[in-house]
Amino acid sequence: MISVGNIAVVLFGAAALGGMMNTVPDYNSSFQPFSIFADQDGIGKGRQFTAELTGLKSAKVISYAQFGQEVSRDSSATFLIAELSITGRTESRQLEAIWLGATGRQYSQSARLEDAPRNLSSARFEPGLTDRTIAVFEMPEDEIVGGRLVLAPRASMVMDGAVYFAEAEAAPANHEMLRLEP
Amino acid sequence: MVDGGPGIRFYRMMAQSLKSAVGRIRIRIIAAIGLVAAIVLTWWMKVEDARIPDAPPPIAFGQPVSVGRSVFIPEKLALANDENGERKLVLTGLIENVTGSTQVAVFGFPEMLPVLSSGDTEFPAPRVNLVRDDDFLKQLEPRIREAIAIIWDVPPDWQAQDVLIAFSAQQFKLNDNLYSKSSWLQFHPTGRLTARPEQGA
Repeated sequence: MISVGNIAVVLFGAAALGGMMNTVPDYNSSFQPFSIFADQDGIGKGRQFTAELTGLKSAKVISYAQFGQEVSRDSSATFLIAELSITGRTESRQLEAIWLGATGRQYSQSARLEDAPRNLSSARFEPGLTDRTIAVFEMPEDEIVGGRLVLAPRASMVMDGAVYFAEAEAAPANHEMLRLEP
Repeated sequence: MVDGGPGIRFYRMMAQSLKSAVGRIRIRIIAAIGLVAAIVLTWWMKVEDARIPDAPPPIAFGQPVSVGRSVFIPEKLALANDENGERKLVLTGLIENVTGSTQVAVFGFPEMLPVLSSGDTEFPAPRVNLVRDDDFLKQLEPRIREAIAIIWDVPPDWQAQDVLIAFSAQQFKLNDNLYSKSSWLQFHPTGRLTARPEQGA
């Protein structure tokens, strides 16, 4: 009887473990930043920053000046430019942005435009100061409508807050050539 | 007690003997399970080995080859001179990110670029440029197929002949054994392209 009881305990433990393994969220989905949603006015308050999405634009070609040289970048798809106004809250921070596409794919900021003026990649936000910045992405056009911008502190996304802005409901103004000014 | 029948000692002995037999059978069953588990594990390891072929399959131009996070389709291999008159071997083709997010480690991490060999000549690691603006390939976005050029510097003593280009990819594991999170693990060869370079510009 004792043996039967032991076997039943082991079987129950194995079944419970199997059940938990199949129902508990996996590591990747568990260790994600906390979701903070921006309000109706497009203003999101993260733990260390407040951000407002002031506009979206798309462009086939982006140009700007760097150290007196003209730089022009084109894309095999389209550039999406998110214009932001960001205020630091408690400490000096750098932020990173991703675009969650309409298909669920994640697009990081384009590394080919890191040296563009006012780019989020090189910006640092100080407490109490508000700065304008842009995040530039490269993606197929059908990822824009239905997609959304996500903003989070750089390199510390896990266990911190990420601000989710509202989904893009309409295609943004499209430019054949967009000039980025400082 | 019945005269001539087995005594209490006999029953005790029988019970002990039975207990001992059950114990021995249990040990043998456990040993048999261990033996079967070892045989099944060995068999499965052989199956796993067979799933990754020793020699990577030969590929041809226009045929896709996995480089892990992306798929590359080689289109042309040419011998060209750069603006300084130095010879370069240029493999052009299309590459597409097959994951759900932007990839910086297009050829894996740590990066393992295609390896070119020809006779005894050693070629240095290549660089990878976008064809459309000749800028470095810094990242690859999902669903955007890019034309790239993989460029090798050619040693001065090398004579144009057939070359072998070996591609490799990291193995993807959805749930790894440490954290049960998705990981890119060891590299394995995925294809080899044998071609004679065309004379380019």
